[in-house]
Amino acid sequence: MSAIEIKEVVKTYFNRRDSSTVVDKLSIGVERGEVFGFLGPNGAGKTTTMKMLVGLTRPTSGALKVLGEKPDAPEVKKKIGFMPESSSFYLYLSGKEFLSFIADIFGLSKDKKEEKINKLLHEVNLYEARDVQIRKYSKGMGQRLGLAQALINDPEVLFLDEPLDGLDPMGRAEAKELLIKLKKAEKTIFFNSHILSDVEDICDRVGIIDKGHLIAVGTEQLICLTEF
Amino acid sequence: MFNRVLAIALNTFRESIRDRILFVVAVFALFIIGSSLFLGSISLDQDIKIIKDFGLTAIFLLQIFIIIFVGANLIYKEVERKTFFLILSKPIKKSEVIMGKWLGLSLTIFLMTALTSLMFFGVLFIKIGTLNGIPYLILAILLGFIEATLIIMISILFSGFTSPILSSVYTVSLFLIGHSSSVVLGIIDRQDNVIIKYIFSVLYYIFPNLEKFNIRNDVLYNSIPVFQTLALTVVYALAYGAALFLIAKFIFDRREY
Amino acid sequence: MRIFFRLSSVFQITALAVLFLVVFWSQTGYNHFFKDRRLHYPAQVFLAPATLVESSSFGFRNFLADVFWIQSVQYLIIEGLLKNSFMFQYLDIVTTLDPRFEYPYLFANLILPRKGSIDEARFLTDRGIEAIPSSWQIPFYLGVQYKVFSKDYEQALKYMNIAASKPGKPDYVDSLIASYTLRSGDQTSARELFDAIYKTTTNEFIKQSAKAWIQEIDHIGLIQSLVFGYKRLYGVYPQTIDDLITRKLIGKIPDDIKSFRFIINQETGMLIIE
Repeated sequence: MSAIEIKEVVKTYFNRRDSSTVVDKLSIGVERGEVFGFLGPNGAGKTTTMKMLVGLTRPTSGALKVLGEKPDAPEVKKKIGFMPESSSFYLYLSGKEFLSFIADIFGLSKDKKEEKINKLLHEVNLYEARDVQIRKYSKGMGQRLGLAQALINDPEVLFLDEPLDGLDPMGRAEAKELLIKLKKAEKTIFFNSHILSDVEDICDRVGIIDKGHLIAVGTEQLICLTEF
Repeated sequence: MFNRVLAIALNTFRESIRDRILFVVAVFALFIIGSSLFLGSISLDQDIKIIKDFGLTAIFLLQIFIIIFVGANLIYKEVERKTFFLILSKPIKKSEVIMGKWLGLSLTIFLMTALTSLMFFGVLFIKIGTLNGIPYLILAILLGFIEATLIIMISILFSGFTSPILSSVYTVSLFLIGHSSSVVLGIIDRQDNVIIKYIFSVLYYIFPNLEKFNIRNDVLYNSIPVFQTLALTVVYALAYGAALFLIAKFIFDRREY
Repeated sequence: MRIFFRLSSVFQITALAVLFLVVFWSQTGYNHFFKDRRLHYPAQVFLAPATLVESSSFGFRNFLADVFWIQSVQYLIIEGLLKNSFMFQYLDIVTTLDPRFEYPYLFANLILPRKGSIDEARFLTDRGIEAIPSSWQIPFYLGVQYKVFSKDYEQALKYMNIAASKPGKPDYVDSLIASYTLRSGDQTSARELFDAIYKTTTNEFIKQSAKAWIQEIDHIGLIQSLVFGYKRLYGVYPQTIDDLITRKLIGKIPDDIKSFRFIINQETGMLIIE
C-alpha cells in the first residue's frame, strides 16, 4: 500500500460570480519511506493539494488516499503530521505550552507528553526558548516550532508546507538535517516548496505543478533531462 | 472526547485571559463600581441602591463586553492565523472545537465575574457593614452568567462565518432584541393584521428571550422568582444553547477552508 | 547643523506655545460673548418621553432609573423649580423605569406642588400607590400637600385615608385625618373620629391630644349654636366671632379655640375654620 495516492483530483472553488479550478486532474503516488518534493510557483495549487491530503478540504472530483484511507478519517489523522505554511500559532502561549496543547489533542499521557516535548524542543533547538511567548519568536523559531508540533504524535506521514521558508542558511541546514534523520527513520515526507535548491538535497522524487496542472514528476535528474 | 474538548477549552481560556482587552474591560467595570460611590453621595441618600444597581450592571456589562470583544475574534483569529488548519488536521472533530471554545470562554468570563463580584461585595460590605442581601445578589449575577454563556454560543456561531466586526454587530443586535421582548409583545398585542401578528409571534419565539435571565431589577426589592420559573429558565438556556450548538456545527461542517 | 536643529526646535516650541495662547484667548472671548445669552435659554431643551426611554432600556431599568434620578437631583438645583421645567418628566421617567423606587415619589410630592403642579404629583402618587402597596408615606405626603398648597380637603382626606389603611402608619395620621375633617367643615364626623382615636390609641400623648380636640370641637359647637342664637335675636348672623362678645352672648372665646380664625358664612351661618 502506498503512503499517498492522488487520482485524477480536481478542486474547483465556486464563488458568487465565477469559479476557479485550482487543481486540475492531479495524479501522484508516493511510496512509504519516500521523500516527495512538490515544486511550483506561488498560487500553483500546492497548498490546496496539501489541504486535501490532510482532510481540511474535499476534492470536487477524484480521490485521495493516505495510508489506504480517506484523509479525513480520524485514524489517518492520528498517524500524520501537518505543518501549515507560515503559521503564527497562539501568540500568547509559550512554545512549551503550545506543544503541550497539541499533545493533549492527541491524548498523550502526562509523562509521555513531558518526555516527547522536551525531546522535540531539543531537536529543533528551541529548548532555551520554551517558556518564551510565541509572539516574541523570530520567524525562524516559529518555523521550527511548526516542525516540532508536526512530530508530536510520531507520525508515519509528514505533510510540510514550505518548511524552510524564512530560515537563515544555518536554520536551513539544521532543518534539512532533521528531515534526513526522519527519512532514515522511514517516515514518508511530502513537502511543498517554491525553491528548487531546498528540494534538491533531500527529495527522492520531485513533482512540478503550475496553475493546477502537474507538469512533470520523477527523480530530479530525469526532470532536468526532460524538455518541457 | 472530553479530554480534547478540555484541551481546547484550557487553550482558549489561556489565550483569552492573556488578551489585554480583558484588562481594559475590567478597569471599566471597576470604574463603574467606583463611580457609584461618588454618585451615591449626590443621590439624596439613595446610595445603597445606587451601589447595588451599578455593581450588578457593571458585572453584567463586563461579561457582555468580553464576549463581544474577545469572543468575536476567537474563531476568526484562528482561521486568519491558520491555527485552525493546524487543529483540524489533528484527530479532533469540529464539534469538539466548538464545545471547547465555548467552555474556554465561559471559564474566562466566570473567573472575571467572580473577581469583579468579590470587589463589588467588598465595596458593599464597607458601605453597609453586613452581608445581608448578598445571596440574592449572587443569584442575580449567576443568572446573568447563564445568559452570558448563551451569548457566547451566539458569538461563536456568528464568528464562524463572518468577520469580527460584523459578528460583534450581529451579536449585539441579537442581545438587544433579546432584551426587548416586552416591546415585541406589545407590538403583537396591538396588531390587527393576523399575518403580521403571526410573523411577529414566530420571531418572538425564534429570537432568544433574554429578559428572563434578568432579575437585577427585582432582587433589590427582595423579590426573587419562584423555583418553577428558575427551573424553566435553566431548561430554556440548555435547550436554546444546544440548538445554537447544532446550528454552529452545521455551519462549520459546510465551510470550505 | 546641530545648532540649526536646536534653534529650529526652540522655534517650534515657542510657536506651539503662542498658538495655544491664541486658542485659549479666542475661546474665552467666545465664551464671554455667549455668557449673557445663555441665561435666556433653558439649560435643558429635550428629554425623551418615558415610554421611549422604557422601550430602549433593554433590561437595564434599575440602572437607568438611578442615572436619571441622579440627573434629576442635579437638575433641581439648576432650574427644577421653574414653571416650565422638566422636573415632572424626569420623575416620570424614573418611576416608569423603576416603579418600586420609593423616594422619587416622595420627592415629587415635595417638589412639584411647590412649582404649581400638584396634579402632576398626584399622577405620580397614584402610580406609586399601586406599585408600592406597603408605603404609607407616598399618599401621606400628597395628602399634606393638598391641605397646605391647595386647601383641597377632599383630595387631602382621600389620600390621608389611603395612608391610614397602610400597615406601619404612624398614629398621628388618624389625628390629621380628623383635623382635616374638621377643617373641611364636617364637625360631627371630626368629633367621631377624634372620639375613636381617644378610645383606641395606646399612645398617651395622642390620647390627650384627641381629648383636647374633642373639647375644642365641643367649644366650636357651642360657638356655632351661639351664632344661630344671634340670628334669632337680631335677625342677621354676626360678622365676626367678636360680635358675640360685644353683644354679651358669651363672656369670652374659650382659650383652646382662640387661635382659630373663624369666618361666618352670612347666608347659612355656618362657621368656617381657616
